[in-house]
Amino acid sequence: MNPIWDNIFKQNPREKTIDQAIKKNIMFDELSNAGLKFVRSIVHIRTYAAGEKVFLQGEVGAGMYIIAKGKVDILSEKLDPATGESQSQLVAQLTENDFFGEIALVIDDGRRSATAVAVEETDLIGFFKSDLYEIIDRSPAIGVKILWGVTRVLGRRLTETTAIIQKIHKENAR
Amino acid sequence: MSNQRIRILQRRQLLFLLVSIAILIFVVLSVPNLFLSMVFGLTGYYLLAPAADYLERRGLNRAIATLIPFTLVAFLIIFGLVVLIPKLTTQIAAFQKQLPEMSLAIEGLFHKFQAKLQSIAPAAVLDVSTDHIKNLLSGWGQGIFEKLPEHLSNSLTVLFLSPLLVLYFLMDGRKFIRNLLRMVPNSFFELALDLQHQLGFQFGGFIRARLLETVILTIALWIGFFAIDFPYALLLAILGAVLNLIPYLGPLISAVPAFILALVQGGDSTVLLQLTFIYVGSQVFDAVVLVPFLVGRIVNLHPLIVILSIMVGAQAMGILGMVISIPLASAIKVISQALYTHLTEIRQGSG
Repeated sequence: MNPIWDNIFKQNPREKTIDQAIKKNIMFDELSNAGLKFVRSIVHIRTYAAGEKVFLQGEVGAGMYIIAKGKVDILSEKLDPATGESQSQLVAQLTENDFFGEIALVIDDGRRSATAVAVEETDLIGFFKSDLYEIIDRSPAIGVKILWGVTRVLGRRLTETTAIIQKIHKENAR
Repeated sequence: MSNQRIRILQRRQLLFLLVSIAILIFVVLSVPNLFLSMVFGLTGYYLLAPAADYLERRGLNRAIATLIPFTLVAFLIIFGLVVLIPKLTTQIAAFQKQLPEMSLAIEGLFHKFQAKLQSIAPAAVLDVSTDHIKNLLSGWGQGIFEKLPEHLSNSLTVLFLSPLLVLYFLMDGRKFIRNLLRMVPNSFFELALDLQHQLGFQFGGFIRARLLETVILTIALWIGFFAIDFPYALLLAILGAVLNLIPYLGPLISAVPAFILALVQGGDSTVLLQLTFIYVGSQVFDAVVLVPFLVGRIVNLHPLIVILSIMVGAQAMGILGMVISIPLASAIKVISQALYTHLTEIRQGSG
């Protein structure tokens, strides 16, 4: 290793984490380096404090988030008929490189099915419907690859949901 | 971090953002010519952005994709001015020559009108003399010449600043918006992003639609005036189409000079009828074909809101205010609807 060259091409650790999180994500794994650089110039980096809500259940969703650093709790909120108060139930805890909210990319005015809350100081990469439109508009080749990624994710989710429904059916049949 | 601390932090971020936007608006409105240059700059940006985006899609980098349509349009404008200005100058010079004749003819018309008025109501008197009209016309002329250096310097500033702003918006507009979005608190971020997208789409669509409407109307009016061999056809067609940008009032104002001209030239009822047909016909064509297909899809405002916003625009900024009042009213509608939905959602979510 040459310390001079290392110093010239040294990347800010936060930037490096963000670049890697994008590169590892299934939506963008078909992209070349130039494509990834283009996506990096479009996405939005947001920092959340511990306990800060990313979005609320029932809100209209605009897009998805990839966790670059930190943790996010996904909570299902239910109204208690006895007290009339909202009760939260932890559905999942997501960590670095996980992503959530991707359904909002393909549904018009779709509501968030759960609440997302940052557990600790968290860096999120926001990728929204308007960003997807912009990419399709400016570079259709990259847009198609990302749409292919979205389709794969949705296909995987559908398979998982079907498996859960079949399991429930089997349990009910016994 | 406690919920209260998060809320305080978000409020501070929101306050900082709102103060920044207020300062930006204050600077734009208070620096002379900046607002008008911004209006022209944004108009140019929304007209050229599709071409620049198309070239970028074809693989060119943004700077080249911006410079190609910009240079082409600049050449077209210069070429158009070179062709149109001599024609317009001839028509304006001819119009100036006719001014004394016109003052006499207007006086004659007023005398006829006075005679008719007195036959109906003998007490009514209209004090109209040749001197009165001459004073009025020379007053206007003097006013224009006295203010000419000021108008010229303002026009030159706008003329130089607007193309620079178009270039800046085309090349770095997205970066500017992204930097502004970075300042938005997390709880409002998705809303702000969605609004920015909607407003950009609406402004772009509106400006492109109105420009196309103006060009089509200019051609339609020009054909009309040309068909009846009416003088100053190009001048009146451009005036008619440009003033048409002011809803309701614009078409009425634009028809006045043509009718005065027809009356002054001793126009018989046939010419007046032909003119009425041209103006009413162009308005019907605009209302039935152009507005529903071009503008109506983009701006969906109640007619009462349109009239009110024009009145407010006229009070605040005169003719420019009247022209920009509709897209601004439309933007306010989109923003208030989105804010209302967002706030009621938050209440539902927290409740």
